Amino acid sequence: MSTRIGMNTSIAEGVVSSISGQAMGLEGIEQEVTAARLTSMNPLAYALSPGSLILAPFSITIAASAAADLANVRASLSYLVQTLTQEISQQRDTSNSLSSADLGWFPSRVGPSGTAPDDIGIFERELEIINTIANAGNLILLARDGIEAAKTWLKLHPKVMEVAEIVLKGGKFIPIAGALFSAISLAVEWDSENVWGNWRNGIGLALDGASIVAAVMLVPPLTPVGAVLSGVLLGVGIAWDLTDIAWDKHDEGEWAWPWE
Amino acid sequence: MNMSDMQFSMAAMQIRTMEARLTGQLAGLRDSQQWTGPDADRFYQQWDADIRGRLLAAATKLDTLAVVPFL
Repeated sequence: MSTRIGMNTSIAEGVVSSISGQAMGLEGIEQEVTAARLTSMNPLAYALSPGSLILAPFSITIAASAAADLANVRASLSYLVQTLTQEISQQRDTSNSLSSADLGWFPSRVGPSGTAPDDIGIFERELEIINTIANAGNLILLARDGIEAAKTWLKLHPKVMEVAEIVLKGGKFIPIAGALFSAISLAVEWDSENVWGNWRNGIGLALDGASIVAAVMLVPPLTPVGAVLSGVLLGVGIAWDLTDIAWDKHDEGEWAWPWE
Repeated sequence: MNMSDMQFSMAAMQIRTMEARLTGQLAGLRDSQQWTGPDADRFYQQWDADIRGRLLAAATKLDTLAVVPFL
């Protein structure tokens, strides 16, 4: 019986097994402390127990520190276990390479390749959350800068603003112009033999009129939905007018449904 | 969900028990010369430097939380 020189892999494996089992218990404790710490950071809780306002910062710091300690321990244990497991594997390779039955095997000559974990600082995980919020804040600032840039560009190009203002001002008169045209259509196209055609023109005029009423009477901010209602009525009125035009063409025999 | 004072004390006790068990196990291996060599020395050194102290510190902090009002 030959004696092998090197680490006792069986004992090392026992250590790995024992540490792995204990580390699992630590994880549960760390999670509970972390949950308690996060709950304690709810400002509403202080309102329910005002006296704790004095002690809360101290408690929060202690809990955060304990959670950071446990997180560091778990990371260090994991590193120790991984390093030891790698050493066990390398020891086995080396030992087996000395066997005449394993002539083709050359053991690796490199040491454990893992690096020790970085320390987890107190409140580090809270700061990560703040970083996320800060990123969202950066996006908002970016949007604000974009709007400011657009404003500056429009100031440097006053013609664009003038055209835009004219269009916006003109837009207010669209319902009135539409109503006027609808009224003219109703009068000019009146046909006592085409009752449905008269109704169509009448409905068109009513929709345009309602749109004007909504725009004039339901003025924001008294009724914030006024502008929306007016726009919807205007849209429906335009769609109705287009339908009416097509229907008129149908009545005039310019087109027919396939079944007609 | 919040931990009660009792739960903080129990968590601290669990951590101390775990530390004592593993430290005792490693000390037994070292004293009986069952596990020696560079790998064992490095392991003992890291256990003492990186883990033991922090485990006991965490237990002490949890004990503190058990007596200080905690929301």
